[in-house]
Amino acid sequence: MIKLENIVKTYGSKENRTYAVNEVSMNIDDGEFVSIMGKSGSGKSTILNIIGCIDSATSGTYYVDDICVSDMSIGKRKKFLRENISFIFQDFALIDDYTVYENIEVPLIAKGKSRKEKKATIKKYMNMMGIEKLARKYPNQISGGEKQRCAIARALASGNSIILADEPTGALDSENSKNVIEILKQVNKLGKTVIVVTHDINVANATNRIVKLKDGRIVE
Amino acid sequence: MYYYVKKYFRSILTSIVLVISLVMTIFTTINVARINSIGDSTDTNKKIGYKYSIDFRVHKINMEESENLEYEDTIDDLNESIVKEFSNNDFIELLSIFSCNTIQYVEMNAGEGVSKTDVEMYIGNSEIIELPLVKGTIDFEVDKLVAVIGNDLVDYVYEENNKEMINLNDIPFEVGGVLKTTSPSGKDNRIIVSYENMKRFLQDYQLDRIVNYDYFPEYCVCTNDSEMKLESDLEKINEYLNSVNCYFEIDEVARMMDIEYLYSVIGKNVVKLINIVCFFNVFLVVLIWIKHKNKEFAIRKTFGYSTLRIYGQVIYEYMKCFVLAVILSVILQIIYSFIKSIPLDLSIYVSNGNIKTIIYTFVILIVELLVNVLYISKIETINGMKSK
Repeated sequence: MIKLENIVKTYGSKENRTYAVNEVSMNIDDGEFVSIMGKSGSGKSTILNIIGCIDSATSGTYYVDDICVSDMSIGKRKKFLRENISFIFQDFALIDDYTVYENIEVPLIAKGKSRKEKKATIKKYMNMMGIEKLARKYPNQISGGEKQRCAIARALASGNSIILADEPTGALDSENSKNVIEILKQVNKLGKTVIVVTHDINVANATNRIVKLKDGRIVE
Repeated sequence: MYYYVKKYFRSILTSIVLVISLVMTIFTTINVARINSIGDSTDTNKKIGYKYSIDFRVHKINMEESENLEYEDTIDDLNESIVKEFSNNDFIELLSIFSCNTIQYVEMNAGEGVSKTDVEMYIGNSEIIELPLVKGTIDFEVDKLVAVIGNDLVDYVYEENNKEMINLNDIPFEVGGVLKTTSPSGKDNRIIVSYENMKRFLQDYQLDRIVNYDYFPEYCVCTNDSEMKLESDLEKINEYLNSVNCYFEIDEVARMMDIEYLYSVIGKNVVKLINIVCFFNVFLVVLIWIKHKNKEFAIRKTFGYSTLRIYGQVIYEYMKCFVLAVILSVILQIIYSFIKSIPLDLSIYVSNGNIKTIIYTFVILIVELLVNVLYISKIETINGMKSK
């Protein structure tokens, strides 16, 4: 279970302090499919980044399965990130100089998997996403929808239990958006905790719970 | 093809720019090393990139004159002169060291019979060719055991395999020609052999003295066409001349024009300057190369890559470019050497000083990488993800 307690994130000095996230507390159960909604600047991406350990809170505590992540050292936090959390980004965040296959391989290398394991895992998730024929293509040779499926395959290949998706349909047309929503539902059915940040109500409606943010605070 | 090139280089354009920068740096370093091996001696007047040839003569100074010379004056007046006493054997060895090409004939007077070790020896120049002959020719191949003999020695000639032979110090020489009798007091017991043969001939021979330097003031004219050897030869000559008890002078027969020397000095410094600019260029290219990978590093960090692991990845990719650049530089240097007639002698580049130059180069290039790699630790994941 993910537990956020009084998370505050501020920017700037004392006089010009801006609250990106202000006293946010929430619980997300294992295997839940949650969306965080809000307008631009509401702090939804900041919360996602804090959960994903790529940003740290100014104050407050953050637990995953009763382990206090916010107190971890940088090294431990990286290990925690490597073993528990995977990201899906709006702009897909694929490495341009790597093929689809190599992009999916990235988290597996980080985990130190054997060549055989990597090959089997990559093949499995490429098949699941229907991108097996794109293995040797580079990101600039495939469509937006294919890129996002590649990014989802990469997130799943890591085998982590928490999937964080930051505006996963933001750069896609409606057809591809629907596909991605369906894929995320399937991912959730695999037992993964999926947290989606979105301002698209269609995406939010596909989730089990919607958390609304305004000016850094939870309003619903 | 694209797939494999991309797989090797990853970011093709920046990697190619990096490889070109490294090739430029390593290539100029190789040439700086080569120039260093030539040395900074202004006497040698070597021109960068050109095979050069410098003739120099070793004179024996008239002993009476030399007695009046102060040592300091000798240095000033004769530049490379020196010497105290003279030993024939040493001189012969010295000639061997010179790899002398120009002296082709050695002329000597045989004493009683040609086997006697006590001979008078003349080391002459091409004037010998003008000597009148009653038969044969003096223009024989230098590496063939052929001698031209004086008239008095004809009695010692014998026939073998339809050839006229004569034993000189028990070594059989073919008689190539017979000298015309010069005068009643002439040196009709003279023997002329090629210099190369003379060296063989003299191996077990003890010569008492070299005579007739008034007549043949130039004891030898040496030609050196190896950039590398010249410096060491001159050093050996000087060492030798310092060690023997006789006055000598070395002067260069062929000197480059001043303007050419000026060009050579400018050229040397320009190459060194280009080398420094190349190092700076590599630094900037590596920085751009790493900045180009900003987003990639950020993505890796979101998957929990440690900074150390990212360092390793960058160093690995740099080393691939580096190895390729070293291979290309060596190929380029071979082509350049071929075009410019520079001897392809590995020892030029691996002499003591040059090894240091090459090691320094590699160290600087690695340090340049490491300094830039530290930049990676400053990349913030969130900002890195936003970069294009």
